[in-house]
Amino acid sequence: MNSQIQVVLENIEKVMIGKREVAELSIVALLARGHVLLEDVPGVGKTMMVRALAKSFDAQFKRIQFTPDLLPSDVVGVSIYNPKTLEFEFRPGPIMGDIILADEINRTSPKTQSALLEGMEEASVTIDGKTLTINQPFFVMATQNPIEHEGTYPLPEAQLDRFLLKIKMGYPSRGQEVEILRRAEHGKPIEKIEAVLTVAQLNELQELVQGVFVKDSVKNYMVELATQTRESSYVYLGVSPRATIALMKASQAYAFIKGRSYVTPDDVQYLVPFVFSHRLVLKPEARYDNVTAEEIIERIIAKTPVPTKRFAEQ
Amino acid sequence: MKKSQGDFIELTIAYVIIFLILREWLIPVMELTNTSLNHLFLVFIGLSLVLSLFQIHPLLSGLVKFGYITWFIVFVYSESPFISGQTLPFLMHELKWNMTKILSGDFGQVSDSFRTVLFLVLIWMLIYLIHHWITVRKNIIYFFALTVFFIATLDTFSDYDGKVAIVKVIVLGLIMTGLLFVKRLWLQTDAPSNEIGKWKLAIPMIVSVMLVSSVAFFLPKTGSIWADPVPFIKGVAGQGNFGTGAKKVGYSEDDSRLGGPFQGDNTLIFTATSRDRHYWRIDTKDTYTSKGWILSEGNFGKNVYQTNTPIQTSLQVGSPEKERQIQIDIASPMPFLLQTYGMISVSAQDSPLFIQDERTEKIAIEQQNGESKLLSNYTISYSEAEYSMKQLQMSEPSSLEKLDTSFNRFLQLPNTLPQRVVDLANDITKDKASVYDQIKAVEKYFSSHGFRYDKKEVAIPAEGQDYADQFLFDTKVGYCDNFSTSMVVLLRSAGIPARWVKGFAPGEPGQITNGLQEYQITNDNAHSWVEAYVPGTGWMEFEPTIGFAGNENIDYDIEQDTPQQEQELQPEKKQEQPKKEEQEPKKETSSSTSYSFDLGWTWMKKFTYVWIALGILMILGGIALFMQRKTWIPKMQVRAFRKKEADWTNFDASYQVLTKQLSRIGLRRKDGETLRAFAERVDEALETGAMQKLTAVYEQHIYGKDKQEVDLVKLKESWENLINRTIS
Repeated sequence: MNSQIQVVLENIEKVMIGKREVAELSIVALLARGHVLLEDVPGVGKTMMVRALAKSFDAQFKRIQFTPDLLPSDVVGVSIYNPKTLEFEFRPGPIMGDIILADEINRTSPKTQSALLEGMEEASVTIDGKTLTINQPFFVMATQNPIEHEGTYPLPEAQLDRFLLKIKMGYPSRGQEVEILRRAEHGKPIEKIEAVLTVAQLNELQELVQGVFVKDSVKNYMVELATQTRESSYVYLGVSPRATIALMKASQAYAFIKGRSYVTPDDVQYLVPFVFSHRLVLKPEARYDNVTAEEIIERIIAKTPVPTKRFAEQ
Repeated sequence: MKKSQGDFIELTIAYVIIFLILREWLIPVMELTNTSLNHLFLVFIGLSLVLSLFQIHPLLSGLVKFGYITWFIVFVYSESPFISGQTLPFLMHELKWNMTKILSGDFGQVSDSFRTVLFLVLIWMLIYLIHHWITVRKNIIYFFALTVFFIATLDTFSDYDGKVAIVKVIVLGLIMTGLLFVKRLWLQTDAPSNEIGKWKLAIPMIVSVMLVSSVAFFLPKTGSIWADPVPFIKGVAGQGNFGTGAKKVGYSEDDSRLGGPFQGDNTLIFTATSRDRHYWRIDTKDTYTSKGWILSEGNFGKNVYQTNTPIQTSLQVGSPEKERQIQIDIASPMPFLLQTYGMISVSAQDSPLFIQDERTEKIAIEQQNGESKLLSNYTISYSEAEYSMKQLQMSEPSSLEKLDTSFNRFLQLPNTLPQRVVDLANDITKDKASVYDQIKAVEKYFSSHGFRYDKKEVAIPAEGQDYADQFLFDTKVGYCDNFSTSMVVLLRSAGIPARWVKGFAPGEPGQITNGLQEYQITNDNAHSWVEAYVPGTGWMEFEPTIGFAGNENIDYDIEQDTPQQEQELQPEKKQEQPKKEEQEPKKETSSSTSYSFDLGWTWMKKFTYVWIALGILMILGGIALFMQRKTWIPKMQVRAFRKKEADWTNFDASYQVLTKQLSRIGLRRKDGETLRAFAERVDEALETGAMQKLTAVYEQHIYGKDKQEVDLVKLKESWENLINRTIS
């Protein structure tokens, strides 16, 4: 385990009880310069997670609460006429932050959604013909409530592709929930969190992650897994090459977190469900047979041969 | 409820089939033991099966069976009715008697009633076993195989004819096996129980079994390809008897059924002292029955000769100047004369009479008063006939048509003779200019068409099968009788008069005194050969049997004597007498390669048992090595790797060895399993941590970029420990 990341994780665990995996995956996305889609019911600690993460890195935290009447300019910012200077002044929107929580992203109109998603993909926004680059680190954690469908605009598959990982939060166990109560008993625990790393250090770590080595045999393995999703009989649309890139980036970050300078198939296997499951479009048959995307991926992992020789045989 | 009902129906069907198969067991036993209690035993089998089917409580079922056995014993062995005052004393008496006999170890003395009880108990056990096979193992193949073996054995070794029974058993057994297979299949697939689906599978199976069996039953079949094993087994076991079983080699009178293996017998028959080598002619036969030789009907006279007077035969005699003597010393006296070719007269003491049968030219020795006489020694005067090749070559095939009716008995053939024999005869003889050449072609036929001399693996023709036909086309393995009979049949098929001659081969040459060779003739030398009629020349002897040299004197008086013919004829002169133990084919005329092949084959055959034993040992050894491979292979590999240096290449190789060894002991990495997950599993199974340690380094080796500093020597140690752990 990388010592710096270890410190960050321990810091987050001060407020997040029993959510080490979610924290780890969030850091994976952060280090891989990707974004996360958190899918879960409200109140399980999504906001707490992002705030803790932001605080740990001493990063700017912004939150956008998506509502049906939210406009794109509310996200990216707006130019306002200043009568004193007789000029339009740009007021940056919340997207210009370091770590952004985009809460209930499926509640807003597709227009506003795409404004956010474009910004996520390009790491820049265009306002009044001017292109403004968003400073790194730029990390969006969008949440989506899977239960309510009334008055929502589900994200189209193409948009989902923009998220590096999709993570489910899940409820805490009984013991963990009791611990949460104990900590919440006297004041807000999030207030106690202190920065352990700087934004500059985070940028450094992001650079280091790109240097993690991926052997050709492992790359082959990733491609094979992606190909299998395209050939599965339950899948209408398999994962795109962008997904394969995402898998590699995530694997690099994960290997880095684990303190390794190279990616192993274990990293790949661990991350595949988080990287692929939201990118698969299943056929109706899958629903009739009660097969989920996670199950399909599980089967693909089980049958795809893992490279175990120094020189790839495939 | 529905499911169990379906199961019950299946079980009932299975039990009905089992009952029918068991019936096939019982029938031969009853038939061979002359018991008329068949139905009583069948009732017992049925009773046991029904009890087992309804899953009656074992105690109750046992009581019922016990009661039936008691009733059975009383009903069969006691004169009084079951419910009478006599029953109990009778049973007590039987019990007491048998217990005493058994306790004193006198097993042969137990009464029939006790044996019956044992037999019934055996059936009881068998049915329990079958129940287990059907319901638990769902596999009846052992029982099925055992039944087939049982009936086949009885059919072979006893008077019981299992022809129909075996078909019944095969059909029933196949259906049973198929049904149980369907059942197994159903259990394995976890498919929802679907009775109709099951029958959809089962019914086509049953129909096809029936269809195939009936087609197979009605298809015409060839005769048995190998000989009936019984005579052979008996022959080896030394229970040979004349007639049906394996014959001891030697001269015998009855030739009506030829075939079967021969057992060697080197009893000395007589010793002959002579300048030349002779075939010892005793008897001829003229009527072929498709199974052997008998004598033709019709009236023939007898000629009586005194000693020292010329004896007339149908054979040629040489010139008087070349007359020579043979001294015969008989060891096992026979009441008939040994004749040689060119025999002129015989002289013996006590002036016996020589009675010649005109039909066979067999000469019996009698005293003056008509009683048969056994001579211990006599002298034969002979002059070997010399034939002119020119004259022989002049015997045109067309001249055969002009032969008178007295030759008819030498042209006789059974009506049942297959056409292919005649076709073969015509094929062999068609391009030959003279009758003599035709005969020689037939004689030579055997040495170049895959025929083999053997005394052991010789078939007896089955019913409806022709002895010569079987040898010529099916077996091609045999001894003198096969060769000589087949040659006679072929000659007759080609229209050439021929007869079958019996006697002795020239025998074993012994010491030479005064230029005279001593020949010892034993029972092993008993022989048969051919005499054929060459128009213009007369009767001549021919030797078709491979490994035997004929005895002809031919004058090579024709100019167009081609080298090839010479080659054909020259070897005849050689003194080629096969040794008695190994009268294997020695093809003088065949090429040297096939000669050496034959020699090698002979050598191989001589040590057949050694080869078989060696082969079995090697196979067993191989199996043992294969079974134990998970212990000895890694041991060798550990030793090999100890010598190697601790570098990355060897580390890689040793890791592959390790995974292979782990798969041998059942720890196999699945396709989608990563090395780390596999290592965790291995460590858990073997209660170590070494695999994960090794795997971590190996991972770095195969997925990493730069080599890190690793203590490979230490790793090697833990590798060795791990391998040793897999062995223990």
